[in-house]
Amino acid sequence: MRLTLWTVVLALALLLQAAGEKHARAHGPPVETGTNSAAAVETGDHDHETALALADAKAPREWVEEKTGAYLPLQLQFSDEAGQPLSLGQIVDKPVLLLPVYYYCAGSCSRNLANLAVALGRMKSQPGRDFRVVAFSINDRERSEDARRARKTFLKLAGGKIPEGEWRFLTGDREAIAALAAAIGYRFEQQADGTYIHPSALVAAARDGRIIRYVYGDFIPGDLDMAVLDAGRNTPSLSVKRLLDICFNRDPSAGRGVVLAVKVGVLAVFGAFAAAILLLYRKRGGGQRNRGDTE
Amino acid sequence: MMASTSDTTGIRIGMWIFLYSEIILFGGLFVLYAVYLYEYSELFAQGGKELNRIIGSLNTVVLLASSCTVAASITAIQRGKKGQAMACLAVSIFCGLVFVVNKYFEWGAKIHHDIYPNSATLQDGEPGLNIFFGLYYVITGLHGLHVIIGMVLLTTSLVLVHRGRITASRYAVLENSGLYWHLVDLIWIFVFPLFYLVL
Amino acid sequence: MTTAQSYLEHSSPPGRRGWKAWLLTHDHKRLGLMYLWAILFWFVLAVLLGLLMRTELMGAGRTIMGAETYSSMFTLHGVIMIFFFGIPAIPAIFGNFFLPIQLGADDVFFPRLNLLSWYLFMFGGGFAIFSLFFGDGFPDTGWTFYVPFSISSAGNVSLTVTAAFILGMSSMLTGLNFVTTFHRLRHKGMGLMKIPLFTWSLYATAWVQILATPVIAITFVLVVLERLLAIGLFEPDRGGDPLLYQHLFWMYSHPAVYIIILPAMGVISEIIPVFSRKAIFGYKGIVYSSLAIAIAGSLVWAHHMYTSGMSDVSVFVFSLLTFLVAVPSAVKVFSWVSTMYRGSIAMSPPFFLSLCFIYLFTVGGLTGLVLGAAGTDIHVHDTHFVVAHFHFVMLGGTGFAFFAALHYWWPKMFGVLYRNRPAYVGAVAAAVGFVFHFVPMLILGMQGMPRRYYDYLPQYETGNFLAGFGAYLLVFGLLLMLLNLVLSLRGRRTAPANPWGGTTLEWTVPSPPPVENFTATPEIKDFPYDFSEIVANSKK
Repeated sequence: MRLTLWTVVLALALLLQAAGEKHARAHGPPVETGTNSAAAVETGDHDHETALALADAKAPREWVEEKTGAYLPLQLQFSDEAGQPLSLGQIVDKPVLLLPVYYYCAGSCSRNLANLAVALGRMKSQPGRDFRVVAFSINDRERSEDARRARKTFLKLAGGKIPEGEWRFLTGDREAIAALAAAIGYRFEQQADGTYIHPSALVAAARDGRIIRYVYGDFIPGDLDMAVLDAGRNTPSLSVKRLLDICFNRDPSAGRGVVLAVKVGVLAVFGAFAAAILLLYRKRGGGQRNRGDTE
Repeated sequence: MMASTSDTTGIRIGMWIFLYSEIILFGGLFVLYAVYLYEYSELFAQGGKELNRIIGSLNTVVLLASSCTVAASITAIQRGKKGQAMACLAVSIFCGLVFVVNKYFEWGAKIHHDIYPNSATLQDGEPGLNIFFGLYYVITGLHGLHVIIGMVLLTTSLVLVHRGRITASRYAVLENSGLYWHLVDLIWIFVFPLFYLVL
Repeated sequence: MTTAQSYLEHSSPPGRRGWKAWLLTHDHKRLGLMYLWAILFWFVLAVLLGLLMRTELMGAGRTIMGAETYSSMFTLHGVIMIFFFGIPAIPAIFGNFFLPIQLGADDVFFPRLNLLSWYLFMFGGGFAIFSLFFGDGFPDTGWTFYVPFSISSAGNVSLTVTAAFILGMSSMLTGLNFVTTFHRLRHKGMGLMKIPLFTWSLYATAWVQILATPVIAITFVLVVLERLLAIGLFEPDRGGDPLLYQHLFWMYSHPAVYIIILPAMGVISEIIPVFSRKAIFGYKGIVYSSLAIAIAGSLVWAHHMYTSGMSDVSVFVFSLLTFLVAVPSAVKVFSWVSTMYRGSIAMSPPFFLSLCFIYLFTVGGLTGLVLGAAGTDIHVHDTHFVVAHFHFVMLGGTGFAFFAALHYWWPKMFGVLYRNRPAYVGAVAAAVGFVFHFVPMLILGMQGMPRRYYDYLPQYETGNFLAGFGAYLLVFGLLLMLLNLVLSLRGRRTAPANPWGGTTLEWTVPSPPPVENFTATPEIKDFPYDFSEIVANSKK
């Protein structure tokens, strides 16, 4: 009788949980309507879904506003891999593929740089002869050591097909970065934890710094070849709007509630087992003696 | 009730099974070595030249001698010669100490030349050399740890012989410690050619 | 026989009292019980974690947790289920309790080593609990800890991996103990072909435990070293190859799944003859197939790596070998079914659970063939098809066999009988829930839903929602069975020495057994599954 009662209680509890979850799902998680991601962070509801919703709230093209036909600010000063000052004009003397990243991005940037590295090896145009690649960090706290380390990794991934000096890794101060990003219409936002939300896109520019074309998402050799070709001819062209990739960093504070629930659950189950064992141990001492063992 | 304490064959079976597992432990590392040797043959040869064959040979001789004295100590105790057994064990432990000290100097020299895991020289240099020295440190390090464990076992045996707890009729602890020591020696016999001789 | 001599009352070594009588015991039976409580704790925990994951998956998008949390959940679920439940459950609980008795011995060969194994198990468990509560949080790498992510990931990878390492030592020492006991403490009259099949399966398992576990030990040592020292042995830009990690990892972890299933098959081989009142069909076939599975299963590890980038020749070779491993398993299934044919079937909870095992394990094995064939595997690799496959064999297989063993040997271990009806209700609920939970996963996998994702495309939502209901039913059934067993310990119904009519030696001693196992010299039958006496007695 008691067992039946417990069974019903257990079944009800589990069913209630299922129903509750369905209710939660139907109403969905709270959606941030504000456009300020910092506010979203302060409310503690910083997670992938919300940030994506934020990013989607602005139409994809607003993360990158194409400035095709405009000129890069070639006078801007950055630091090269050795920490020496370098102006953009010094390295834009042939068609250039300009890629905004930051070197310690834990999200899609490394994948994009890796894709780019592999794609560079497969292009029909040749780095050095036809174009140069310039990556610059949007994170003003990154230094030339970070650029050096990234250069070593990605040059290796490109399989040694990039001649010396044809893939530059730049770092800079806040003003220079902001100026260059604004010039190419590239928007990015810093989060409270120091990481960035930023789109994955690169710009192809001609030897006089004129912006020719944008390439998005996974960088495939075909798109890159077209961009370099157009840059070589100095004719601004239409970009192919591939799926715009937004990059986030993982947030370990997300899902705190569930992790806490698991910790509490572990303690609860452990407590239940300990109590059961103690109870049984005490019972066994008393109860066993009365039971006969029939054979 | 426990007949098993007097079943020396059973105890030996258990010990040998344990030794098999230790061999496979190092086996995983030797698999890595084999694959990377195939991939980086020239760089491994280059790395091998940096290792001192004289110290390596010295270490080999020391370990072989210590295995000999361990076996001698078992024979001694079987004949009831407690003093001889203790002396042989002491020599073995001393040899182990010599080995560890040699290893300390070898590693020290390498570290002084900026060759250690994640050092600048290895990071900026050829990847194949990084792998070679990475494997060198991991394998000789793990082996060195086993030498130290073996020395602890032999010292325990020495103390037990002294206290009369290991006798001519009850020497399983000594025998098993000896087997462990032989294993440590055997692994070195593989490590030495792989790093010092064939490259 | 009076209860005063039972192992529950008397300690071994004799004269100990209180907690020392348990925590310093040499008695394999007490150790079996201590493992039972610890392992049930881990099992219930992992089941609830699975339920949390399934709840998340019931709705598209974020339901109750986000991506990183979900990753930690499936890592925790996998680590617990594999290392804390799957591998130790049947050998450490039922193996420890019954292997010596089935061999006619009074304990294992190394009783104190057995105690050490238990302490290592608990110590490793402590590490795992510690890694959950403190530090950087539980890892999100998956229980497979693939490099390079496990080396750079922020969570407590080193702690968790060390916990698994310690558990490996525990497992290895248990295997060592069993092999030595098998060879040295067997009753003089018991030749090799008179040994019960459960013990044979434990013997085959023990060899795999001994020979395969050191490989994962060194693999995990390397992961910790890489995290601490950044040597670069698995990092491409420092000359390393991440594929070598996968090879080393699976070189253990595939034999590990045979460690998980072989004892389960041994349990089924025990139960089927008893409730068919008929000798097992093909005793030698089952013995040899157990050994064949142990050997052949150690040669097929890279079938987890068909899409990893290894050479086509490797893919072909491992695919071929994987198909060979299916053969001895099929031999067993045929033997069990043939045993039941023309037997005198008596239904009971352990028998019902064994029937569930046979069906679910067969389905799991067949889906394994789909995965073993490299061509079809490329389509379903890393989808929920894989997840469903291994749950069919590990939960539908070992899980149900574990519950069958619990129900079969519970009267012997505790001297009590449980109520059958809740056991049947729980078993049916678990079986039906299992099918509703995992069959949709097979379909979803073939449709392309990736595994280890907390979110999915809208077309997968219906399947996932249905699977969720199955999950709740499954958990209900499992918990009901456990509750029923635990409540039986109140002792309302005592158990006789042989409630089921079994023929192996554990049924000749009282329930619960005396501390020294046998008070009279055991009588060894010519054949361990000789039911002639039982059948004759029942006709009276």
